[in-house]
Amino acid sequence: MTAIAPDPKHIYRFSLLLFILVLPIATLRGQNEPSSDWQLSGQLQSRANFFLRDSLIGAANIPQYDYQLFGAENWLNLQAGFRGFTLALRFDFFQNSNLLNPTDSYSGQGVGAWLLEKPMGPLTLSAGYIYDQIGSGLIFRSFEERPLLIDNALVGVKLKYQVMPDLFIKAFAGRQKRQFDLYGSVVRGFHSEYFFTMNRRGQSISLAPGAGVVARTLDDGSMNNLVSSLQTYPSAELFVPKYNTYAATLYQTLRYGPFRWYAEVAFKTKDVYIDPFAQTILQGDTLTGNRYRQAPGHMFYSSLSYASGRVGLTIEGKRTSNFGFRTRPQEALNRGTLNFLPPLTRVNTFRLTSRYNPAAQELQEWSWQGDLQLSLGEDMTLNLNHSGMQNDGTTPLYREWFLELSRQGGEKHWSLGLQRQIYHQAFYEFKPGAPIVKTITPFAEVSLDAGQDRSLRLEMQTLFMNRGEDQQLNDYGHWLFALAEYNPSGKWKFAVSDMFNWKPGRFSPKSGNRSVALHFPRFDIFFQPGTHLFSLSYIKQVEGVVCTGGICRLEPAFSGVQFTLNSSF
Amino acid sequence: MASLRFHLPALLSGFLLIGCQEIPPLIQPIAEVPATEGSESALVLVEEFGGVRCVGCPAGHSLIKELQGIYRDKLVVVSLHTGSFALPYAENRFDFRLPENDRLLLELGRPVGYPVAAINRRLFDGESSRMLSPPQWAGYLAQAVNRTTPLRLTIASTPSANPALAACQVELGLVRDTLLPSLQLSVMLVEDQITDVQLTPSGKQPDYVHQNVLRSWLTPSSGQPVPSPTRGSPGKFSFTVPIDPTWNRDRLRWVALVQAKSPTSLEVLQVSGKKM
Repeated sequence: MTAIAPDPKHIYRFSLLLFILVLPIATLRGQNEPSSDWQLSGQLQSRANFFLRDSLIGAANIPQYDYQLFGAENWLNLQAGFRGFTLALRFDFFQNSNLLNPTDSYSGQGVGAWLLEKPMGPLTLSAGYIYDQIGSGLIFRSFEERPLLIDNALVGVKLKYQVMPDLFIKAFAGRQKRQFDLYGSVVRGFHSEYFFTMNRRGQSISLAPGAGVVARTLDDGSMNNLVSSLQTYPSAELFVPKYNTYAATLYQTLRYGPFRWYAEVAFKTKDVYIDPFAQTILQGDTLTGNRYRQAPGHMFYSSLSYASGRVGLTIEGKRTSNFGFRTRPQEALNRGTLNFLPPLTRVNTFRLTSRYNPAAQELQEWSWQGDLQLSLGEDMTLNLNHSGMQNDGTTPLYREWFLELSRQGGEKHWSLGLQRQIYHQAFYEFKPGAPIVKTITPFAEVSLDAGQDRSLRLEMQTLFMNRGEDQQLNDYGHWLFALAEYNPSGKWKFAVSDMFNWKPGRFSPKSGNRSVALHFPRFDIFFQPGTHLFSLSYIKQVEGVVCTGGICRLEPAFSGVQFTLNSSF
Repeated sequence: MASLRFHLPALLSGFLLIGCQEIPPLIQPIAEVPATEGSESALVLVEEFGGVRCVGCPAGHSLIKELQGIYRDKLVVVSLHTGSFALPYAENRFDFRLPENDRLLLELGRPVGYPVAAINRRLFDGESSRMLSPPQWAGYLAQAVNRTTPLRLTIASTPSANPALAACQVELGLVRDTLLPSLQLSVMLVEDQITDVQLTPSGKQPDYVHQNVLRSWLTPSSGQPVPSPTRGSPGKFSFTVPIDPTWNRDRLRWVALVQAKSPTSLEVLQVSGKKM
C-alpha cells in the first residue's frame, strides 16, 4: 500500500513533449493567424552567486564557500494560450544552490511546474501544478516563495464551476510537491465564495462570504513511521493517530461606505503535530523537546479598516491555537505546510527597522496590529503603527511601535521616523540565555527628483540596542546604516550602502575573545533595457531572520558577488 | 436559485466528510525488544550529529537513551560533533570536532538543523535526506532493527607495547555463502561519560555528561575497501590508534561498520561495538 510517486523523469519528458508539440504549431500559427488566437509569453528569473569566504562574519564552512565557489538558480516560465486552452510550463534549475538549505548545497533541474487549463462554459478544468488558496490561507494555500525556495504546489486536478455570476464552487485533489518529487499524503478540498451587493441610504454595502473544507489523508509510509515512533512512547503519552484530518473555514468581507470588515474563523479536527516545547519525564529526567502530540486546533483572524480622505485606520487581531497543518507530521520548519498563517506584525522595509522579525507561531499565538495614516495637509502624512505578539506566557514575545512622518510631492520626497521594538530573541531564534532585545531605531530618507528620469535617494538609520544584566549590549549591539542610490537615467541605477556594527554586542563576530566592529558594505548596479532587468552586486550581509511573504527563516551571513536577471518576453 | 446559493456549497462540503469513520492503526507499545538473537541478526548504527552549542541536542541524546532502553544491544550509537554548533565554548575542556566528521557530513548531506541522525546511513523511502530529525528516529529504527545480514563483524582489543597506543583486530566473516557487492570498512573509537559544557534550554550546563562521543577515526569516514569474505575464511584487519592522555581508557569502545557502497546507496550492512 505504499504510495507510488510518479517518476520525475516521466513528468519531465511528458511536459517537454507536450510543449514541443504545441510550441512549433503555436509559432507557425502565431505568424499566420490573428494574434487573438495565440498568446505566447515567458519570464526568466536568474540568480548567480559567487561566494567569497569570510569566516569572521560566519560566511564559511559550507560547500559553496569552502570549495564550490559558485551557485545559481534559474526559473524559466513559459505560457501558451490557444482558443481558451492555457498551457504553462516552468523549468527550474538549481546548481549548488543555498536556497533550499542555507547551510548546504542543492543541485537539481527539471520541470518545476506545468498546468493545463481550459474553461468550458461555467466549468474550468485545471490539471497539473496548482497554486491557489482558500480565504486568507488559514486552511489551505499552495504557493511559491522563491527567496526561501518554498514551492508548495498541489499536483492534481481542480474543477471550478461558476454556478451564477456571483457564486462559484471549486473542488480539488492532489498531492503536495517536494522539489522534483511529491509527498505521499493526499489532499482534497472544496471552496465556495459568494458576492452580494446592495445600496442602503445611498451607501453601497457589499458582502462576500466564503467557505472551504480541506482534508488530508496520511500516506501509509508516514503513518507507519508515526506508529513506530508512538510505540516507543510511555503509555501516558500514547494516542491513536488519525489518517484523516479535516480543516474548515468560514470567512466574510463586509464593505459599507468607508468601512471594511474581514473575519475568518477556522477549525481543524485532531491532527498529529510535533511539539518542540513538550516536557517529558524519562527515567527521572525532565526533557524538553520534540514529541508527537495529537489535538484539534482553531484559529480566528479579523481586520477592520476605515478609510476616508484624510484618515486611514486598520485594526487587526489573530488567535492561533495548534493550527499548523502539514502534509505529514514528520515535516518541520517551512517544509510541507498546507496552510499559511498570516503575520500581523508590520512589514518593515528599511534595513535596520526590519532586522528583527517575529515568525507566526503555529502552536499558540495572540497577535494584534493597529495602523493609523493621517493626512496632515496636501502632501504630508503621519503613520502610527503598533503591533504585538504573545503566547500564553506572560513574557512579551514581540512589541513594535512605529512613527513615520513623510512628505510626498514636488521634486523632493522625504520621510523620517522612529521605531521601538521588543523582541524575544531566545524564543524566536532558539538562542537560550539570549536576553530580550529592545531597540530604538531612528531613520530618515530623502529622494530628489531631478527630472528626465534622474533621481537620488539617501537613507540613514541607527539602531540603538539595550544592555543585558551583565551590561553587555544584546545581540549584535548598535548599528548604523547608510545608503545612496543614484539613477542617472531610466536604464541605469547605482546603489552603495553600508551596515556598520559600530558598537558590537554579545553575539557579534569575535577575533580571539574580542568583539570586532565590522562593516557590511553593499554595491549594486542595475541596468534595465526594456523588459530585462540586470543587476550585479557585491554583498556582505550579516546573519539574521529573513522573512518573505510572512514566512521567516534564520539565514546565515552572506559574502560574495551576486548577478540577477529578470526578463519578460 | 437563491436557495441554491446557500445549499449547494453546504451539500458539496458534506461530500468531503462522508466516511469520516476510519479503522485506526494498531499501536502496540514496545517495552523492550529481546536481546540480539540469530546468526544473521544485523545491528543498527545510529550516527547522531550535533554539537556543544546545539540547544536541541540534549533532548536528542535523551531520546537516543530512551531508544537504547528499548532496543538494547541492537543499537550502536555514535555521537559526532560537527557544524557551527560544535564550535567549543571557551569553558569547554574538549574540542570534540574532527575533520573526518565534516567529511562524513558532506557525504551524507548537510541537514537543515540539528540534532539529526543517520540510521544505517540509509535513505529511507519517502525521504529526501539521510539526515533524520528526532521525531523520525523511532519510526525508522523500528524498520531497521528487523533487518538481517549474512555478514558477521567482531572486534577484539589486541595488546599494544606502547601505552600511548591502542590496537584492535576486526574480523569480517560470512555465516552462509552469498554474493556481496564491494565492501567498505570503517573503524572508530568512541568515549562515553565525558563531563563537559553543553548548551541546554536552560543555558550552558558545565557538568553535562556526553555519551557516545566519537574521539577518533581509524579509517577514512567513507571507509576503506576490503575484499568480500567467504564462508570459513574471514577477513582480518588490524588497527592502531594513539590515545590522548585526557581520554578515559575504561570508557572507550571500538565501533566497526561495513558498508556496501554504490552510486545510490551508502547503506551500512553490519556494525559492531566492543569495549576497549
